[in-house]
Amino acid sequence: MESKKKKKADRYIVVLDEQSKSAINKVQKEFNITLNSSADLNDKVRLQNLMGSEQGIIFKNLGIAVIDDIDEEKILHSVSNSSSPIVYYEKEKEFTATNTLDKLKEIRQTNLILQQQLDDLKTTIIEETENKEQEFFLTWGLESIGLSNNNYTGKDVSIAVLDTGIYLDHPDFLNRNIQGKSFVSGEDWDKDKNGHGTHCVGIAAGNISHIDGRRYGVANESNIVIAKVLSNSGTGNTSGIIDAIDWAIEKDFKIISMSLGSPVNIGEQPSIVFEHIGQKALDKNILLIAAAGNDSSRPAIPRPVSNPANAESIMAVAALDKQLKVAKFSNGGINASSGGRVDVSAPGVAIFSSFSKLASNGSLYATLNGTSMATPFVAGVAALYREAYPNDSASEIWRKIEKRVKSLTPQKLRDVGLGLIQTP
Amino acid sequence: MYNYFAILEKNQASKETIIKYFKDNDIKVERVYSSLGIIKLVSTKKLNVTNLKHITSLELDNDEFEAV
Repeated sequence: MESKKKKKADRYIVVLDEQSKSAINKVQKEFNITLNSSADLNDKVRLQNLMGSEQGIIFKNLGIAVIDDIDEEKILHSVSNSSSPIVYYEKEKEFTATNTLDKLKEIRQTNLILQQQLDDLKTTIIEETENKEQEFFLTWGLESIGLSNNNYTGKDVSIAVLDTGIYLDHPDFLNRNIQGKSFVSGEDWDKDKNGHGTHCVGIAAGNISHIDGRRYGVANESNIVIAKVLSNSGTGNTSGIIDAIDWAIEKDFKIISMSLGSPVNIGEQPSIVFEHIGQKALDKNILLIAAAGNDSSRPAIPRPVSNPANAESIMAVAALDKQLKVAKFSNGGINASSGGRVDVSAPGVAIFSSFSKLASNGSLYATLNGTSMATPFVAGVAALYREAYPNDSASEIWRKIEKRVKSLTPQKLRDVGLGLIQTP
Repeated sequence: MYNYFAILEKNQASKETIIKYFKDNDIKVERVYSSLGIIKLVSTKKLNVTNLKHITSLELDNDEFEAV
């Protein structure tokens, strides 16, 4: 018997409610087919020999017929008819031959894959746990301002640091949002050959030392803006500083940090120009923060707060040591009746932060002293407040910072301002 | 040569008017800081704010700043 080559068509398995001759005849008549009996199957006569167009097979003992080339609609119609012998039907399914050994191999392979995935997950969990633990390895300065209890990062807040620039190739600043401009003729903002600027930026906005996992920056997700107003020798002039502030205000950078100063004499009035600039900034919801200066030699009477920090409209920052005492070098508000207060204080002795490899004593990190170091702590904290209270004016942010300080009594207001800044 | 920073009056005249005024008085307006309401003036002689229009304050630019 020749086997008929069948085109791939839908084949249906139908279940009959009875295996009587009349039921079989009904199906044959309804679908216009001949149902061959499974009894005719033998070594030579295979299923495919009995199937075909207008042909099917009935497995009488099972009450099941297999039919080809039937429109499913017809079967549906038949099934819906109460007098039809067909009680159920389904399309023929494909089965794959298996043997036990192959199955075992498949299961073993799957297990190996699952085990690998489990191991990878374990490694990820361990790494993330370690990183989390490392985040709590803070510099003393960050501990003292309450960073370990803080939930803010300064995200989406721009801090403009007016200084010697930044060492942009520093590994701790890769993947950070950084922009800058130089206001010093012939010198680049992104090649800090002094290191002071990189150190201050690190305090305000840095993150974790990749060498020992120590966290040293306050607002570690803030946007960093560099305005190089100090030369590589660490000096600058009023024009460059005003130019930079003008630019920063135009760009609406909310926090401007100035770790720089020009000494003033006892009784000297603050600069009218910087007072005006500070107020203009506040009017535009921008906060200027500046260092009180390092001209003092306590316990002798401190020198007055330097320009521009001595402007009423600019937040002046004094420096504290590890015992939270005013640093020996930190200037005081002795001209306070004519401007020149210290507003707040922050850590400013033995401060670890990023540094520049391009500096003469270049390295990636350094530990420095100065009201310069204290100032970016306040800038970073201000960024956290700005994130926490996005709709507040700069003056309101200033008030909130002052309200939440840690009191340092009995130390004098003249020396430490209202107290040690704290995170929101 | 004297370099000054001057604070502009609140209701500022136009930039062109201000520059022309100072030029007519032999004073160069070296820079206008628009967002700050400040201009930088350069003059061969000492200036007195009471004798000048458009500005409320004058300050000599003679400060040098350093990293602290």
